[in-house]
Amino acid sequence: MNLEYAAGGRWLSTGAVILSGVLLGGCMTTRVEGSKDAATGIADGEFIVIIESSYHSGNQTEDGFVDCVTKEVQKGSAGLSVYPDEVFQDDLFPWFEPRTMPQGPNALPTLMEKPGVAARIRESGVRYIVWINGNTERTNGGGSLSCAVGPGGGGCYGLAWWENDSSYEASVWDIEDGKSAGAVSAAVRGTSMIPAVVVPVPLIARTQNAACKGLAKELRSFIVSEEPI
Amino acid sequence: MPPRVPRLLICLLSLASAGCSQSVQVQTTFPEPLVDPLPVTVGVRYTDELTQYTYSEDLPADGRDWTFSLGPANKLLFESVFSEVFTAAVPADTPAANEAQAILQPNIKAFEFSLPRHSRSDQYGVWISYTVNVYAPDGELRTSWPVKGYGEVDSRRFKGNTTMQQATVLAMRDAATIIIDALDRDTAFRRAVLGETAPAEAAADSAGIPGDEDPGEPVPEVGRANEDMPEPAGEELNGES
Repeated sequence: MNLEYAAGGRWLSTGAVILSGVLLGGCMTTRVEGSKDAATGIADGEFIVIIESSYHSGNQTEDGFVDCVTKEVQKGSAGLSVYPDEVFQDDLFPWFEPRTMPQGPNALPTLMEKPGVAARIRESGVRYIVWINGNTERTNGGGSLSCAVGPGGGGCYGLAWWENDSSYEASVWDIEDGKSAGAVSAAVRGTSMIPAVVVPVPLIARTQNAACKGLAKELRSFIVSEEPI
Repeated sequence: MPPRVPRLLICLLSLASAGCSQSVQVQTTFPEPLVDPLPVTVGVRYTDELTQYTYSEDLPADGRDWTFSLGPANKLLFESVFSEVFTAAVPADTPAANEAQAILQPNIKAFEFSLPRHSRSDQYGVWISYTVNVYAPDGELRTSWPVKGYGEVDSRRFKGNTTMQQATVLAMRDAATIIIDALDRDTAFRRAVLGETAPAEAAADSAGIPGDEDPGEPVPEVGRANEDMPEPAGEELNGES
């Protein structure tokens, strides 16, 4: 009877540890900032397009991050209408290819003078181009974790940890005014760990996901709000 | 032993001895370039080497052999570009080409690719080297313009061979971009197509576009997995400086 109680208690406590691990996640610090250079605002029927900066300039933004931001900015009552980036690049081929895409707002006037470009952008309804830069890197890590299995059972012992740094910036260009409207950035640093006493309990800091949500929320308010940030 | 078992064994053994084969079929369309056409009629000659191009390479360390089939896509690529950037682009071996001011012949010179473990990144990369020969109507070679397109795709973006296929498509789009951009500005390539005499400073105008510094630049041997390929970062953009 006592043995059964002890076994049941161990399972209960193990379950509680796993559950709290899942719920707690790792430890993260988040910094989201915005800097507005010009008044913004978006009308009904106007779109934004979100494009990752060129890999030719060394940018390594993960495709999944751009997809995440694209989904997040469309959520909620103040959600933005997003023009599909691949359609935009096809419509304007070859002027938004990684090799030719404008490298700064100063290049916008020259781009708009190219035959058909201004008209094609006007037809699309795109008001803002949002350029995504940045990536997630593992900056540190350590510890050790070992697992063993024997005839009587198995288990893991030890502690492994690592630190991820997610740093992204979204530069916003106003097509109507032909200049930069400003930028928002999100920097998330998080430590993940897997402590194990018989059962490993992963405490994962989802820094990229946090950066995506932080950046998208700030981007929404940056574009929608006509007030300075 | 039932006859089914040995057949299964033979099949498994042959699979194991052959390794895993990756076949990348590039089937795509290319967008119409947004440009004003140059006021010139060109004849275009497509070689079998270009339109039936396949590249195979066995990577023992990877345990896979890769086969890329991009012949039909090559033709679609150049048809899409030439039909929009010139007033007319007609087959070189038809009477319509009698009116052509230049004959163009695209060729594929090299194909390279890299896997994430080669570049120590999450990217699949593809490099394709083309040349576009420009002939006068009498058959004299005016120039041979090298074009090296590069494409990379995050390995987490797609599943299976689709990632490598997309990287190949991006490399082909990049090559098209280089050609369109070169025709959009005053380059030796554009002058050769238009049949204009190059000014004295012509030698300087091809600097900048990767691969076009010297029309006779040797390109890598046709096809090899690019195990030590540098990052694309630092490439000069937009061609000429």
